[in-house]
Amino acid sequence: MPHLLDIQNVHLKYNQKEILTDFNLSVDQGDKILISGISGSGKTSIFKLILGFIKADSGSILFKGNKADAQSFQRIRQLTAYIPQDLDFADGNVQAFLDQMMQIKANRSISKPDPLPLFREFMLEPDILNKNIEELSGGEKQRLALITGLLLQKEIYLLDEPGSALDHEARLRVIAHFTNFDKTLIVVAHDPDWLSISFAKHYELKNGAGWEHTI
Amino acid sequence: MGAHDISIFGLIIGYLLLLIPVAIAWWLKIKIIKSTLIASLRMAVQLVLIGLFLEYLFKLNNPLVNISWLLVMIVVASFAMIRTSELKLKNFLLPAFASLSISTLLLLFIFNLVILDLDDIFDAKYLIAIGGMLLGNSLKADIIGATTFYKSIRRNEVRYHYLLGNGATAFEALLPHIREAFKNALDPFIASMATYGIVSLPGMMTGQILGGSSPLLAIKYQITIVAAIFVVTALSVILTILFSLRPSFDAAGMLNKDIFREKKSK
Repeated sequence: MPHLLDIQNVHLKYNQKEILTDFNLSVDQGDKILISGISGSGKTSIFKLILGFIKADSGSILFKGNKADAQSFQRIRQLTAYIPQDLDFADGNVQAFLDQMMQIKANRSISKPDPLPLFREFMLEPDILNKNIEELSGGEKQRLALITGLLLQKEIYLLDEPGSALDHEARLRVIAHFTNFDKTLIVVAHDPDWLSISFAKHYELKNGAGWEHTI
Repeated sequence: MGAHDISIFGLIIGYLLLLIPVAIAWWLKIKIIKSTLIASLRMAVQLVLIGLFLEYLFKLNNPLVNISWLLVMIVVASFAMIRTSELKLKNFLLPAFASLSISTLLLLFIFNLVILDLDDIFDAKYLIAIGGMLLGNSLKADIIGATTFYKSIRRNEVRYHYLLGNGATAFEALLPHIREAFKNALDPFIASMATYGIVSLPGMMTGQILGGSSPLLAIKYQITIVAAIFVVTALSVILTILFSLRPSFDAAGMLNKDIFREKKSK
């Protein structure tokens, strides 16, 4: 049975600096994977490789056993909820933004869920729905991105530093939500709070290579 | 009847009026004197040459020659459009040429055949004069459209990636940028259209009135030509963007970063 996703012997340079050296990672359905390491260690690049936003200098990305081409990246993107670290992910009215995300063809099959329970769980005021995303604080934007991802009911969750803009309590709420999560989850974080989730695999990036910890 | 003639003396005075803005620029120490002089010289030489050429062309009035000249105008317009934008000729010349050709030729055809109901739709007077107006007036919007679109994607890469990473196709993720570019390109035209007649007497109308047409006929022309220019503008803006997508993005939907020409800063 091939892995859902496979990163094999990837080398990646950015601005002359090698940020991934012979990096390997395999992802199976339902896996929970934590990737940690200091900033600038190439953590975000791993998501960008999986989503086809950047190309590795060498090595390959496999999707269900086949080398990923433009079409498989399209297929992968339909399966993923991607929460970027950079919070400039959208603008305009929050409700309109949620509607827009549901209107995407790949997301139309899901029944339109009520966002308010997740708002309560992540301690967001419901009146945020009427605000503009530009007016929200970093923490509010980050939770909005997480909630949006959850509403989209995807198969694979790619969370890039998902608690970085949150205070401790909000972060624990978010972590609690993902603790008994039945979807495939890959978290990039340097924050030890995330270690409370029992991740199947934990990779620590050091000098470009991935060191697998068994937890 | 016809417009009152301009004497050589009058022409020289008219040209020398350009010294007023040049003097202001000199006083403000803005470095546009050289470019103003070059541009005005080019303007004068080009117009004299084109005047002589058009005299000949209108006398000859051969459909094939007229069409060929129109195509030359479209090629020159395409070059001008890309040169003024910050995009590379290599990627954009063909899309610009295709979109300008389709929109201009389509509207010329409708204008000459249906609106004016001409016996000879290839008549130089109409084909070249109207074609020139359609092209010249849509060019600015095309430049704004293409430039806004590609700059907006480059500036908002995070948003573009966000949409892609959450299931959007490349086209779905590009739509917000297409909307913004289309709106930015048409806004100036819409604003100026609203002031026609009161604030500005458009060039074509002025020309016709000086040439002896009644203001009412001039207005009929003006209304239809403004509508036609607007349609050509809208069509060419959207087509330029759509036609340029393929050479500007890879199969995975990533923007080819070397489509931008780094503008030399003065």
